[in-house]
Amino acid sequence: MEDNNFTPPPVPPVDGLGGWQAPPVRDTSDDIPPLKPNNWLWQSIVATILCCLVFGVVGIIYAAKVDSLYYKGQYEEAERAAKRAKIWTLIAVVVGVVYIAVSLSLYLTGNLEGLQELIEESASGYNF
Amino acid sequence: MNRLSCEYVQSEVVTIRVGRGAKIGLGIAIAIVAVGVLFVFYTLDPGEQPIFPRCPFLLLTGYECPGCGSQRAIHSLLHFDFKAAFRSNALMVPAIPYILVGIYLQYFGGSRRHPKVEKILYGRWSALTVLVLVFAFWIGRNLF
Repeated sequence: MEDNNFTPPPVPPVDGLGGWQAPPVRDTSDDIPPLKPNNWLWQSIVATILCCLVFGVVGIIYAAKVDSLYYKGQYEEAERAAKRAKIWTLIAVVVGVVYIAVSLSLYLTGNLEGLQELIEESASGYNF
Repeated sequence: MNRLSCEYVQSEVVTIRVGRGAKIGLGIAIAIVAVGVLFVFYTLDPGEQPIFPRCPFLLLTGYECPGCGSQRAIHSLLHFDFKAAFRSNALMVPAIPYILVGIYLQYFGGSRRHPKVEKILYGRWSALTVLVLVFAFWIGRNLF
C-alpha cells in the first residue's frame, strides 16, 4: 500500500548508514538522483492567462526546461531552471497585482480616464 | 520501502506539521478573497464596466496577449455561457480545470495519490505542449 503511494525518484540501494543529503548532488557523480524540482507550470499559466503580460510566458518556458533537463540527468541545471520559473512567475503575479491595484485606485479616485487617454494616445485606439 | 525513502517521508511530514495552522489560515483567507472576486465578476460585466483593469499589453501594442478577454470569459463562465467564454478567451476555458487539478495535486495530497497523473499532465511534454499552445493562440488570435 504505502509502497505504491511513494513515487520517484528511483533511489538505488545504499549500503551502511548512508545519510541521504538533500539535492543537489554535487561531486560524486550521479549515484542518487535528487527529487525533481517543482516546475511551476500551472502557476505560470495562471500568471499568463489571468493577468500578467509576457512574464508568465517566460515562466512557462522555464517550466518546460525544468523537466527536460531533469530527465536528461542535468539535475543542477534543472534546479536552476526551476528557480527561474519561480522568479518569473512571481514577477508576473506581482506586476499584475500592482497594475490592478493602481488602475483600481485611479478609477476609484476618478483619475483613470486621464491615464487611459495617455496610454491610448501613445498606442492604437483598439478597444477591448 | 527502504530506509532512505522512509527518512524522506518523515522529514516531509515534519515540515508539513510546522506550518499547518498558518497554511489553513492562509487557505481560508484566499478562499474568502476568491469568493468575493468571483461575486464581483458575476454581478458586473467586464465588457461594460470601466472598473475592470484593461490589459496593459493591449493598450500599449494594440495586439491581444494570451490573457486578453479572460475577465469577460470568467463573467460568461459564471453565467454558464460557454460560447461567449470561448469567444472572449478560448484558452481560458480548458485552462481552468487544468489549473484546478494542479492545485489539487500540489496542495491537497494529489501528487502522492496520483503520481502518474502528475507526471503525464504536468511533466516534460505537457509543459512543451502548453508553451506551443500559448504561442499559437497568441499569434493566431491577432491574425484572425
